[in-house]
Amino acid sequence: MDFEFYNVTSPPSGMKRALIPFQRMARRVLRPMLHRLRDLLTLISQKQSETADVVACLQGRLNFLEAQTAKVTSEHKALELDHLALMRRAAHLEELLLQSLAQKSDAAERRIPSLPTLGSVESSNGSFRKAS
Amino acid sequence: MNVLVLSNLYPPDFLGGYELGCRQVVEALRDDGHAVTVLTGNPRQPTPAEPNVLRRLRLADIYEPYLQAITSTTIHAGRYVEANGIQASNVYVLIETLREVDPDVVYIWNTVGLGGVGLMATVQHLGYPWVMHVMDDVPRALCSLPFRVRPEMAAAFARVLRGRYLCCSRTVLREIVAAGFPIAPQAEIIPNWVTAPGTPDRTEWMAEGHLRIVNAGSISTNKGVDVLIRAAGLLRDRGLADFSVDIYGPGNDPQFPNLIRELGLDDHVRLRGLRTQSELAEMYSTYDAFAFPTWEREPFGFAPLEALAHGCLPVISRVCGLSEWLVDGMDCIKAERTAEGFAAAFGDIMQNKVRFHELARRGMQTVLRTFHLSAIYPQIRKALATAANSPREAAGSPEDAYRLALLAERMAYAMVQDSLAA
Repeated sequence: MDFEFYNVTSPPSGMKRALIPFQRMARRVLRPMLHRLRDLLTLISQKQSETADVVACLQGRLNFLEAQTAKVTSEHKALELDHLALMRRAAHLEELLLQSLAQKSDAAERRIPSLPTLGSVESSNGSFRKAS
Repeated sequence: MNVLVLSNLYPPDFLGGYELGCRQVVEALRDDGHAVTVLTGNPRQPTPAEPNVLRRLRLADIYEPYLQAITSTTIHAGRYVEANGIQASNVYVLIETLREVDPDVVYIWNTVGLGGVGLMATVQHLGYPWVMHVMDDVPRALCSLPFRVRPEMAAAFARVLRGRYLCCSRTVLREIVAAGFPIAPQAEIIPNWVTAPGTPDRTEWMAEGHLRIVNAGSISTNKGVDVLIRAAGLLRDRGLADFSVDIYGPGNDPQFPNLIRELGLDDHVRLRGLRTQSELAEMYSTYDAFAFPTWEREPFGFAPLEALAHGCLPVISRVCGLSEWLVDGMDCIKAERTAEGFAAAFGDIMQNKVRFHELARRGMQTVLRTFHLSAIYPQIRKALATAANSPREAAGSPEDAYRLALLAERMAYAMVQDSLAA
């Protein structure tokens, strides 16, 4: 009988020797389960490490996206302010234009003499008189 | 109109554009025939007496860095109560002055240092219509009792104080609203201005291809002086060395001269010390670009506008109060607030990638047409006249107002003491 496996300190003797077949049987029964368990644990460990890699990758992408979002937000803010400035300027210029047009039309109205009535006749000095 | 102006400082005693702007508007109102009395704080240095300028209010100077450095938290907190919250003695002086002047409208400027909340509440209590000119987040500062805004204080401020606000930018208005002061319905946006005639006949820029950059204001990281120095370093490293940067302003922070030395920029960047507004105005026409790499919460900034009136083109942060008034590529250049961003903008100018002369000329015309006080003043006058014509509804007598001020002062100290002890 090979006792090597159990021979930790000294060969078993007495009652211990009688237990060996049971221990061997238990080992035979448990061995595949333990092997399976080992395989499962190895698989889980691998998956965990893969997941950690994925998480690190996602974290990197998230950081990148956050930076991009901050940049886009800042650019959007800048664009919004520039647009606001442009709108204000356009409104101001439109106001000036309207004022200037109003002034121009006032001046033009002052320049145009009153229109001659129907039946009036232009005299030699350029003024109008009522036709007789 | 009979106008009473309230301001913490009044030139020749001033800190920056806020007080200088106040004086310019006071002069414009007087030139327009209105009676204006200025009630302001005790000057921090002897100043000559001026007619209708009453320097009677006690100023709790929280801007003094020496006092800030040596005082304990408790003393500092007490100073905040005096500066922002209430000083019963100032309320008394205000009541006396209101009795004397009996204004149609009270025009409030920066009241930090005077116990601003108490003064505004007194004006409101006595039923005087008021308009506040906001060039910084003053309401938020006034309700920081101490060190942070108390939400209940902010809510009470907006609920009780029902005046009008003239804000210099949407940026500053948004900041105030975001801090818990829903004042937007009472606010109107009116930009800052220039009073100088400018240099409209200027025709020369970048003489001999040399770009002369100027910056004026307080020398601090908030204003982006470090960004500007680093941008100069990047420009030089890229072989674009035909430029100079002159920085004017108060400040003795050693980090900036150290940075200049560290980057070996002594030949390019010079810290030139403090200059008066008129001295700067004379110098702007000798510069080509005004660098303004200021922080996002800058409410406006007078200096870049003044520089532009003299044809000195502003290169400004893309996001700040001024950037909602000037248009990129039309009358200014906007850059990302980084050394890289500003270096790229200056590089483009030096390599003739932008039509610099055209921008500077157009910007100068825009400022003198759109941002001159003569163009802005009618809006201010209209706002004051509208307020002056609104009905007066006094909530109580001057005696009540003073009694309430005394009570509020004691309560404010008790509240601060309790919050510090907790």
